[in-house]
Amino acid sequence: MKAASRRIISFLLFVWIFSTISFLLISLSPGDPATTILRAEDVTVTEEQLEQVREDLGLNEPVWKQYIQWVGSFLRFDWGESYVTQEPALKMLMQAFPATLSLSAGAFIVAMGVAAPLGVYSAIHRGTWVDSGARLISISGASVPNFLLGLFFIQLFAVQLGWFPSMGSGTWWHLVLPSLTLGIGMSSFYIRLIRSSFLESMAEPSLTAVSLRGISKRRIRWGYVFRAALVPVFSVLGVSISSLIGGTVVIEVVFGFPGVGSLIVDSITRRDIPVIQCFTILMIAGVTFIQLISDVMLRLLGLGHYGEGGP
Amino acid sequence: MLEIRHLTVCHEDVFLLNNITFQLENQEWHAIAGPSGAGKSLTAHAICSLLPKNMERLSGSVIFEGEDVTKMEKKRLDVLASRSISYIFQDPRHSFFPLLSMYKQWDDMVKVQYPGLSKKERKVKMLNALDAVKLPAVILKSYPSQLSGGQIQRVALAAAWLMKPKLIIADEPTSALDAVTSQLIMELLENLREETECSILMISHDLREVLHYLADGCIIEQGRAASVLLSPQFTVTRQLCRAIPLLKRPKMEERVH
Amino acid sequence: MKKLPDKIYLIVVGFFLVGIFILPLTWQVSPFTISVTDRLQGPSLVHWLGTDHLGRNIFSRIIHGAGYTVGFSVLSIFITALIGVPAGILAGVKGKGTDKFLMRLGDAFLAFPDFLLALLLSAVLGPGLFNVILAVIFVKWIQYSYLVRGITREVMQGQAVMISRINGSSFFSIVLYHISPAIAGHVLVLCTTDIGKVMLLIASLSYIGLGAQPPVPEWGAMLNESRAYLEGHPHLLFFPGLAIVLTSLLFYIAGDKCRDRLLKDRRIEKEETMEDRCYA
Repeated sequence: MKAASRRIISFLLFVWIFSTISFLLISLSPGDPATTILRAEDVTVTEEQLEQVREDLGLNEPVWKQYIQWVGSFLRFDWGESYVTQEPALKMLMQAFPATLSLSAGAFIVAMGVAAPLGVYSAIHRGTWVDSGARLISISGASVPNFLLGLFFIQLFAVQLGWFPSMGSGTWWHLVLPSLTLGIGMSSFYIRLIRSSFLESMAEPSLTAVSLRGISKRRIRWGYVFRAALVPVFSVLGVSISSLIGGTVVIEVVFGFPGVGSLIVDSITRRDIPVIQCFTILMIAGVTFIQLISDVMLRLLGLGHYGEGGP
Repeated sequence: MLEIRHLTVCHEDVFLLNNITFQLENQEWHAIAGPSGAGKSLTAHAICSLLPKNMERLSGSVIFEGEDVTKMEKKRLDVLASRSISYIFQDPRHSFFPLLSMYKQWDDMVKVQYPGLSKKERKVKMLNALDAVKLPAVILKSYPSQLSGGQIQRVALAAAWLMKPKLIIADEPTSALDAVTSQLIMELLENLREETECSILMISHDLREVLHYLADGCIIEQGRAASVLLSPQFTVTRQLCRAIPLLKRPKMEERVH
Repeated sequence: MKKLPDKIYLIVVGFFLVGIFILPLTWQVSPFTISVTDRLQGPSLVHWLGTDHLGRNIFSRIIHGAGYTVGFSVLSIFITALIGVPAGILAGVKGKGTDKFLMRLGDAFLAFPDFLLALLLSAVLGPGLFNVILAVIFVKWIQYSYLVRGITREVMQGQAVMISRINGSSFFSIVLYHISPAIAGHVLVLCTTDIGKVMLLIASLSYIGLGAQPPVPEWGAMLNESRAYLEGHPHLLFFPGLAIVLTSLLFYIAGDKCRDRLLKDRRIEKEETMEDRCYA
């Protein structure tokens, strides 16, 4: 309980520190938000107009005053409006979120669906052709970036074979190629992880004793070894969910998929600061929160006892 | 009940066990002693066919209850090993799987040993076994990493008690423990033998009824512990006599001289 | 690939690295010359790998791009190690406050996958190759510190250091004679594997338009520029893509070989699973 509250405090502290840093970096970085706003309206910009907008946004104030204002509005959940569309930034992100979520879920299913059987099989049947194949996938996964894999899939499945649409979103068909790309890209790491952790737990010295007690091989494999093999997988689960979110950004750009990733990349190139700020804070909070949850989960599953050593 | 005949094991042209022969009768307590590297643990392993893959059994047979273990099918052997032989390991950490609670591990075991029992009956059996080794019921809830070495060895004894084996092989069960706990473990083993009427083959220098003294893979002295110790034939055994704890020594020295 | 003798492999990597820096200087065809009449040509004797949508020579662009893609990843890893290793040694030797601070920071940082953190940073700083490199250094240095700190602590607690401290060795001689030899192999292996990863990171960020900006012939940016031509002229994407894959494969295997050679224990493997997560 004490550990949990300490975690939560450090979580809040971290979010605060990081968002402050991001605020400072943004407000000190070159680029004028006023031009961004006025350019969005696509008219010739005069110096008076620019000055007017700067005055409205409070950009002429000293940085510390801006910061206090920003914290105040942040705590009132008034997270600013996009310079480009004039919509609330939070609302824009929330609207894009379901698409990203479905993409991540699809990718996660693909990744686990590929990695779990392949990893376990190649650990049990070492040296077979499946094992070599799994090794090939994991090596190539480490050297083929996701966006290239995506381009390859578009060329193969959309252009040549015409099975799936290459761009856009809307139907389940649109989801297939992006999730396949991201999932397969992710699986290469998991194949390696699951294989090596399965092998390692098969060498667990106490298994001799367990099998001497008459417990069947099948039961040992799935009830004992598999359980031990899950520990490393679970302990990186938090980070892998976060990296899944990171991965969706690239994939969304490749496939023109209108999710959070496409939105944020557009915003970055346009210097649409409120959206960037909103995204940054949400990401930091989200990632730290996921880490917190996965730690708690590991403990609840009773897997935290592993690796603590003997008496 | 257990008879080992001319057991020879080699690894890369080196004889690790050479012509081991001995017999273990019902309810006897045998000890195998010897310097480290003599092949004590290997003998114990060979009985359960647990030899490492790179070692080869050249000749000899292990006859348990009239059946040759070495010629047995793997499946039959597994059943035999789990039903009739209990093995207690030297390192307490090697006895239980670290990721499952004691209850789950025992439950798996009891399910195999006594099929057809309800969950409640199984639990009663476990509690009885724990009682026999004087451990509280909380142990069932804990994980191996939360127990001390002595506790784990007692739990392992309780597991043996549950299985009602005909033979217990204990590979230096007390070497990792302090003197008091060792004493307790030995007493528990004695109780276990009385209650379940099993035989014990122990690798230990805590000498018992019958002693087999191994050196370099050969049995060099064999017989009643007292007679072996009183008239050691070789330098190594004489060294053993000298290394026996102080308390026992004066008496023996008197008789030797 | 795996069975290639180490020496031959070393020569290949050496040639490759030298080539990356020498070839752009000697290669006369400019990667920036636009020639509308030559646009979108297939591979030929004049243009070995064809031309892109502005008629620029793709082969020349790939050669010059290597300097950006590979060169900048080597550079950023070098700087990263330069920052991370001393910080790690300091934390490992000093312990207490410095150590605690660094570890707290590390715990917070390591929850973030590399790519996401680099993305956030370039979101805040704005697009551009320089910012991406800053982001890489910012993301990676703590991983080096973590690794070095762990080994340093182990060394510091060892008998050898205790004895030489009793004999009155100074801080610097302990670092020089005890710590550096222990960490050198690990850091080298981590660097080698990281170069490939950072390359992919830079290329990915450039592809989504946050890294190198056109007309810079960075490989990821090249792919970004020509993505509209995927359907009609796939060779525009094929060659830069192939360059990325082959180069990162080269470094991946080099890292593997370094590991087999230099490290007898398996710590680095665990370390790798920690930060391999960026492309997971």
